[in-house]
Amino acid sequence: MSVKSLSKEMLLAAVSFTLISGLMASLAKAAPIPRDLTLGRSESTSKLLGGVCYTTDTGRQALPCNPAFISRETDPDFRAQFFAGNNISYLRDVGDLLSGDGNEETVDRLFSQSRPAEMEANIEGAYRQPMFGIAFSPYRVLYFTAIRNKALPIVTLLASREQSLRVQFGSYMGDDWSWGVQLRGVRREYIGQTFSLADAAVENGSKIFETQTQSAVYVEPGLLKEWTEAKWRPQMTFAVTQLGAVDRKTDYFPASPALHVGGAIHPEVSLGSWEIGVNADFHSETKNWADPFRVGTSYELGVTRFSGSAGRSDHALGFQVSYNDFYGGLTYTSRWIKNWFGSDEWVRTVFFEFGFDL
Amino acid sequence: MALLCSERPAFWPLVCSLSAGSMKRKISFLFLAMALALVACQPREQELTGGDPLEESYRLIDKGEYNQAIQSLEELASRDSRPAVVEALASAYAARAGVLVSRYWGAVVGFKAPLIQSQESRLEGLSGQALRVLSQVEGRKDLTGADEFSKLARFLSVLGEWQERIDRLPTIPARQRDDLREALGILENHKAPGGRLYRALLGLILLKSEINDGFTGWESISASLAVSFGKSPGKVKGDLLCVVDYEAFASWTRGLVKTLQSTALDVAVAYPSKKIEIEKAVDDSEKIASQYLRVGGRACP
Repeated sequence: MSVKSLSKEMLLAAVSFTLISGLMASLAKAAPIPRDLTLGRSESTSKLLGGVCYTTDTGRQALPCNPAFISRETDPDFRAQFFAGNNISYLRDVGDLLSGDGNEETVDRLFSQSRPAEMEANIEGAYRQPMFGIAFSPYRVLYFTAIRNKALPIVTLLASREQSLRVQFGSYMGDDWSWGVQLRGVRREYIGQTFSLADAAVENGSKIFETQTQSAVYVEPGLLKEWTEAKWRPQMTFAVTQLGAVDRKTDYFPASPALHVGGAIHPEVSLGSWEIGVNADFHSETKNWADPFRVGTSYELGVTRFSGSAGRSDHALGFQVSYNDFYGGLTYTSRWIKNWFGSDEWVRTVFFEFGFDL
Repeated sequence: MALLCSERPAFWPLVCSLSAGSMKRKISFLFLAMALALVACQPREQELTGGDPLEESYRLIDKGEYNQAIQSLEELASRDSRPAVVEALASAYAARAGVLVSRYWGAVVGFKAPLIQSQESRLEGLSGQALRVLSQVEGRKDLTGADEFSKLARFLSVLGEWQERIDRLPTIPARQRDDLREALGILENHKAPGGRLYRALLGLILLKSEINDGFTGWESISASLAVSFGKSPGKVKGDLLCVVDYEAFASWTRGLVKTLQSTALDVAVAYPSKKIEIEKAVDDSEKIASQYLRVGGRACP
């Protein structure tokens, strides 16, 4: 194949991705609450790799992000894990403000925050064997607040508690193709409102904090193509997520399918193992043509795995350590945003995870 | 795979190229193409506004660009009927007047407003001043108009009680009160309880600011009476109260009464279960004020 025809292929690939991104951007709606908070997964591999998680099966996840990887040969494994992030103090100030316990110092601290604040935590147990896996999360919580307008404070509040059950099954199709399907059920209880402080103080203001529920069922297929005989064992992946139905539509948890297309390679190294992946995910809330793309990598040496990824304006780094049946990890994420005042700012969060195998 | 490529080479160049040739080089070029698709790292325009002009207006207020916020919100209010837009416009004017949450939050927490009442008052500040004059005039049968003057003094003592309750609210200089009055006007017929409660708060801030200017005309009244009573309390002329000029004070209190009543009615919208109680208090205050104001501020018929 000549360089000229290969360049033509690259151009066609780039144009295709641009057209897909543009199509998605044209369908974009306002989405002030991050999608990866409300619809994402609260576990370290997903935070470290982002969408690249769908192209690899390297992390110590309860179940792989892409169900096609469930068809791989692995030892049967039962696992439990706990995952949480920081940013507790700001959320305590928000709670004080809403309950009327705050003072001028509370208000000053809150309005010194020039950007939204978020927190998430998750507990999950899972069982995995070749071609089948099941995971149950009895408790995933997430919290998002944004306060603006220092004349009459407007608060956007999302507090959610959800339970989910995931079942994955898949198989090898031959010719190095594998498929998998994830069935996922989610039940959420949440408070999601945007209101002014005056709205919260009127006679029926407590109605703002009434809990709502949403139940959802998703069917999420995945495909994996491997070239196991090639030198760097490249692989290509496809996955569809958030494809399903909900009993109550809400802007906070939209029924918005996403298409993941990606690939990974395994360069040979003298020590340990190394994987590099690229993923593009497309959905209706994509605004910029470059938003879907993400690059990630993992390097494992002995009991330690180092991972990281980068997107258009954010990156994540971290490590996971395993010892006997226990493992733990730290994840550091950083997003580059324009805050309320139009200035550039890094939003940094640290997550920790702890788990064990039975 | 080969069949697909031969049938549709133009549409499946990527798949066809991967099925032949140097795998490693092709994949490397593929990843390079996808990596180049990522623009140079740029700060992501945080989707805080989500494209909503109302959210953009909040940002302008937080940045201190009140004029631009007002202009943007006035244009938005002409085509967007959301209550939040009206409230944001009023808050933009209030912000330009200097009313920010950091200045009034301390007064809001634990605030307990007294209703207008014609009973006992505290003995401090304006209340005490009015009561001291009251104690000299009340019950004096030899003074024409003593009863009417007593009602006036009692009303003033109630104003003093309000002043002590709202002491922690900010005071707005006279030159900035037009913006505050504009905010009050915008919310005058607002239906949302939250917006009316905010209007009540702005009304209290205006009330405090007006009271703090000084009890226009009252000082001269109490000063002249103090001179007369001080010399010889038993020998003051019977028509002493009739010759005092009340007009300046009457004009000043007329505005305050209107603000106070309007504020109470705003609170009634925010707390519907207390509407009857509040409206009765407003009626009582109207009776007290009208007895004085109806006769043009004269204690004597």
